[in-house]
Amino acid sequence: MGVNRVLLATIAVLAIVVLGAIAYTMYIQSPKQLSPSPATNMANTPMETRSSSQSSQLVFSYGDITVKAVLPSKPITITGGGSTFVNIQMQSWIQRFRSVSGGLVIVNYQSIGSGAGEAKWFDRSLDFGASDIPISNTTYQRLVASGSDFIQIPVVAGSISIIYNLPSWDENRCGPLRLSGEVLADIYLGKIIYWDDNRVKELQIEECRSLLPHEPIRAIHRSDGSGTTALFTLYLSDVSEEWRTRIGYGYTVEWPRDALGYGEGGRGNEGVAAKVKGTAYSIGYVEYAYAIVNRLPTAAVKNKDGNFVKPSPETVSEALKRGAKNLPPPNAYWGDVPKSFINREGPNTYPIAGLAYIFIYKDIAKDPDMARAISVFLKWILTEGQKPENLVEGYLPLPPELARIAVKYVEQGLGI
Amino acid sequence: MTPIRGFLKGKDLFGLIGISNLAIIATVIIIVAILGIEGLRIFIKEGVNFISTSVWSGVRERYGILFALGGTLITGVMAISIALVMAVASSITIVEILPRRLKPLISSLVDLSASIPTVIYGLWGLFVLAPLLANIAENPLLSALKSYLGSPGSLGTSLFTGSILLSIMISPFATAIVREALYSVPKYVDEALYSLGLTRFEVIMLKVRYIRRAILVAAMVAYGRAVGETIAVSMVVGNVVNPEFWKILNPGYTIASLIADQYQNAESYYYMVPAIFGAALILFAIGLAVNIAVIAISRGARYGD
Repeated sequence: MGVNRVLLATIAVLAIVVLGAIAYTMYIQSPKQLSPSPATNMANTPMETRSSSQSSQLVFSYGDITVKAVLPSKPITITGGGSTFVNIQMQSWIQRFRSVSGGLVIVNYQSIGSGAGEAKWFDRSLDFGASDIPISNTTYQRLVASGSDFIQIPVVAGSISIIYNLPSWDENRCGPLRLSGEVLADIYLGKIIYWDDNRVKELQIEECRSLLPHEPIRAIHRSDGSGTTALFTLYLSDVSEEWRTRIGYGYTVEWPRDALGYGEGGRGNEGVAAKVKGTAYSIGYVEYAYAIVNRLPTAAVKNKDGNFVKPSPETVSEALKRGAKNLPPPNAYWGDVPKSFINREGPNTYPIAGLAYIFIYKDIAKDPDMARAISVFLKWILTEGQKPENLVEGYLPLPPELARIAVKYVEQGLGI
Repeated sequence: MTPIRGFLKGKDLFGLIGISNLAIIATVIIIVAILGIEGLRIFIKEGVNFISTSVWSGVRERYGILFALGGTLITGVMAISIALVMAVASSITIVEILPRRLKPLISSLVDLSASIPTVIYGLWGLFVLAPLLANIAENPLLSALKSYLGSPGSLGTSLFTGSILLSIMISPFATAIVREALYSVPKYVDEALYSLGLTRFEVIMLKVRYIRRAILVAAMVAYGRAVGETIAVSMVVGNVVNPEFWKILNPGYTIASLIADQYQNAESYYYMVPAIFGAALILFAIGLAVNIAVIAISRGARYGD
């Protein structure tokens, strides 16, 4: 009879496993209405807690901004996720912020991709979502329909570097390769095939034009969906009528040059960079941070004023300052915001600049401690977090003009 | 009788096996159901276009996976053909030709190569195999065949390179099966064949014929591995939406690498998540079809003898 009991127990365990699997699949099918799940790594929560009555005030500054923030009265864990682009910066911020808050505010960030970040924030699995583009039109319509008020703010800036592998080019004598948006669009459209095409030639300085060989340009692009592609194609759509009507912009687009056999995809920034490095006569586009850290040869791109500019904190900041002027209210549809940083005027402006965004629901402020925790974290990354010592190499700060607006949106949205 | 000995025998054991089996079947059914439910929207939207057109555009919300379907089938079939030749050849070498003392060493080396993580195969494929193939095979082929198989100036990352890399990766699995089958041919068959005065080569050929069902099984196992392999193939296949997927010297896509590339930001587009689930369902259907075909063929072989 003992054997039967063992058998019974085994059957019970297996039945539980199967039922669990079914329950889980039903759970992931159903929309989540529950409040955000508690933190996963409770192990990191500090053991010592401050007396609950004490609410210490902190003061942060950045440029001419000075902002006050209040710590929560008990330890709070915030869970965020989304954009892979901001991940490295976010982890660094989180680590430094832990000591700023005395361990009272613990932030977890999961690098699950911008699209997933938006979706999981929308169904309230995350306290905040981070994305390389603002809230999409579909999500925005659903937010309006459900009556949930929210704010979105920029948190950090990024840019795109055009990298190239042109063995015959003499960078010491000729400087960086020069390209324009129209030429880039026509290369990726497959209309400019060879390096010695007249339209590429005429951008270079006179004595260096002969260095361009009669070799087909190998155009490398991201094969995986990415914010990098979204920003790059947004720029191409802005400068090229044909790109806008035929291709458009987004995380993944069609690449007409591939059909000619002169285009190819690489997975991630590292995949594109590896292919450009390994392929003579190629060009590609990567995240600015990636090009800087790996010291890849970067092209100068023609800006609206006709100057050829390489990406740098200063040249990207020029574009962001100009775009900051027409930032819409935090709960509006921000679909046109990315365009306002693209191809801006100014002699020293780099034409491709973009932002990463964070989304939060206003009703998260119902819990005063949660409101304080999110507010103090966002205020810190928008001020102290933008200073060079707190930025990871290659990430670009928000100009103070933009950071001030973002801090204002946080204070208005959370009431603290 | 110790309690352990009394544990699990007779009907109890069968009951346990039956329940474990049910759990596995239930899991498979749940997976297929999820793929179907999640993918339903794309089949309604695109209909047959989903598998008969080549387009992957989040911007226009148009999805057709013919290019990836073609890439999957082409790389799978090419990889199996090459891997089977390698598997049969290396099995014959190990079982029939090598001196007795070398056999365990060589077979364990072959088995070891099956346990190398696929990302390492991918790295090797990207940095060593792809440039090598571009120089010794692809570019000569391209200049000889004009544009039938691809555009000139190959970079080495292509469906062809993907197939070669896959065949190298899956051949240890196929070899293990073929080798064991060859070992299991009864000694008296050997003796009988030699006693008829056949040469060594003729005996080996007859023995290979004798184990042809095992070779078929090896092909099936290898196919399963080939079609699902993601990361290594993704690194060398080029990852390009290539409507002319039969031009195997051009970069292309497989369904597995397409899914790996696209899932991250898929939720930003209304139809991309269903499209990914739909593609996964098709991948599953291919696997099922191949399994059924192989079972049918092996039955036929048994009765045809």
